[in-house]
Amino acid sequence: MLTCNQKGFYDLNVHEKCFQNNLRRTLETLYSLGYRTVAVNQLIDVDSIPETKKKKKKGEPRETLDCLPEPFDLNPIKETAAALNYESLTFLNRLTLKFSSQDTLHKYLKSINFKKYDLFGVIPVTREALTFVCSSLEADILSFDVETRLNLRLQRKLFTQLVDRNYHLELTYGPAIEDSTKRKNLINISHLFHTYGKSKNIIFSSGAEFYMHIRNPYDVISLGFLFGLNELQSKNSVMNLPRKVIVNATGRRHGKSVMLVENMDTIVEESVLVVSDEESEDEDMDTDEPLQKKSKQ
Amino acid sequence: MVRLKNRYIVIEVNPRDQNETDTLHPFKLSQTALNQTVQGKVDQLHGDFGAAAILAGFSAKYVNPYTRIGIIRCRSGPHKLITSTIPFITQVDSCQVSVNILYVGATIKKCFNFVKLHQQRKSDEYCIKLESDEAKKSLKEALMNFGSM
Amino acid sequence: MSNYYYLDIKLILANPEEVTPAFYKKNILEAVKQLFGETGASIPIDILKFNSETLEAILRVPKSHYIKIRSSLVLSGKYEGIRCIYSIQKSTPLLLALQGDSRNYNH
Repeated sequence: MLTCNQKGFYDLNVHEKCFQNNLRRTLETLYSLGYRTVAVNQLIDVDSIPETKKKKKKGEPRETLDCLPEPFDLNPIKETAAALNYESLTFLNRLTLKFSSQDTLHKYLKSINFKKYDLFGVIPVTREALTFVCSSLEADILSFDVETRLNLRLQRKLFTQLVDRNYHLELTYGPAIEDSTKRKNLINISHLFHTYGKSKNIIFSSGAEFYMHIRNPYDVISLGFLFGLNELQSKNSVMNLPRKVIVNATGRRHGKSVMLVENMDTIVEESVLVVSDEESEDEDMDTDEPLQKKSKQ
Repeated sequence: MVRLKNRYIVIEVNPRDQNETDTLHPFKLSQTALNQTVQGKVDQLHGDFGAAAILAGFSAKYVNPYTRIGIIRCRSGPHKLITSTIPFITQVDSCQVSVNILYVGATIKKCFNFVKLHQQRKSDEYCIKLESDEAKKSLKEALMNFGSM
Repeated sequence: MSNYYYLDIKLILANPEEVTPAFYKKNILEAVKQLFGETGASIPIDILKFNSETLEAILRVPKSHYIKIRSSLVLSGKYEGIRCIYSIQKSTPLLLALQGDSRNYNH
């Protein structure tokens, strides 16, 4: 069962490259800056992988190659963190799929490895992909590619749909550090979020491919002003909203279920118990998960 | 009331080395050239932030080469960045110019009215210098060409 | 309150290099210029103290432009071609407050 850190800052997008090379340095940077929950991101571009169709031979079973790679192995990271005496540092696995049409995406969602990831983010490239994401895809994080200028028409309706469906929009400041055009695209996107979406449900993450792209969370909060957020929204984007993302992700993975809320201390005298927002005995599952149904006893 | 507010900026582009009598010579001003010049200047003066801030609703809406009038559209907040950089524009398409801002309107209809008045006044000025009626008529037609708006 | 904001910053380089105060200031101005253009480069930034061994410095910026300077320091990535991080340790409108430090103090 996933336990969330209540304290500390969240960085929900650190590229796996940071943990393959310079593992120790990355961990030192993350811990000393105050991040306590980090998601290791694996970015997969669905369009760049060609479809391979193999002819079925009679009698021979078809090879089923899993199109998704295995989640990044977190054990060496955890061991290094323990060796450095870093307490309460949690790691998660995150998958980001960049796609342009829902047909190619379908087989990825059905693969076995898909369920092993804790967080799921999407990057829609075309308009159909964006409408598919807003209407029927279940994911946690929506982000946009900063390398090319955004050619999608954003509308207020899309944003209200996304907020209702518990999506969070991600702004990665890592690529903006290196390149001027990426910086422009990032600021462009953030201003569009502000115009059409009132900057709700926005999270900041580093998107770092190198440990030197990770910045102090207080500095990231001050970046929020550039992106059209006010002070409270900026602080939430680094502290509270990523926590909400993790909670929602856990809810999404477990699917719809029936939840019984019982108070063990009081003796039940009435025949009908009305369920209210009491503290659940099961502390790991958060009571504000959106997909749970409460039952009356 | 949530609504996307735009600002339409009416500018006049005057080539620097232009004679007084040569007012009828059409100045080669195209929409893309104006677009690129303004964006480049905002990028120079206000950096990546300025260039990105105006990028959303920015376009050069209307350009008349005869009267050298152009209308630029941008969003309501970042319009101050553009109005503060337009006086610094010194060249468009390798031609030395000086640019004036004539009017800033919130709707294109108001800009249209303003431009109409402006062109009427200008055509009256020029018509004084011309003698034949035909020349006056053709001048009026050329100046009042709002087809691209 | 004063018209200035004081920032205590530290430059962390990927490869160690010799840094003079002039180059330090030049790099900061370049970072601001990239993000905010020439209007940003015209902001009066002063380096009050500079430590060439630890590459720490105390900057003074006008209060109205504080956010611009801070965000351009965050987004600056290169010092003369070498990867760098500007780590902002403290920022306060009162210069004396830079001395006491409740966050990094080890009891």
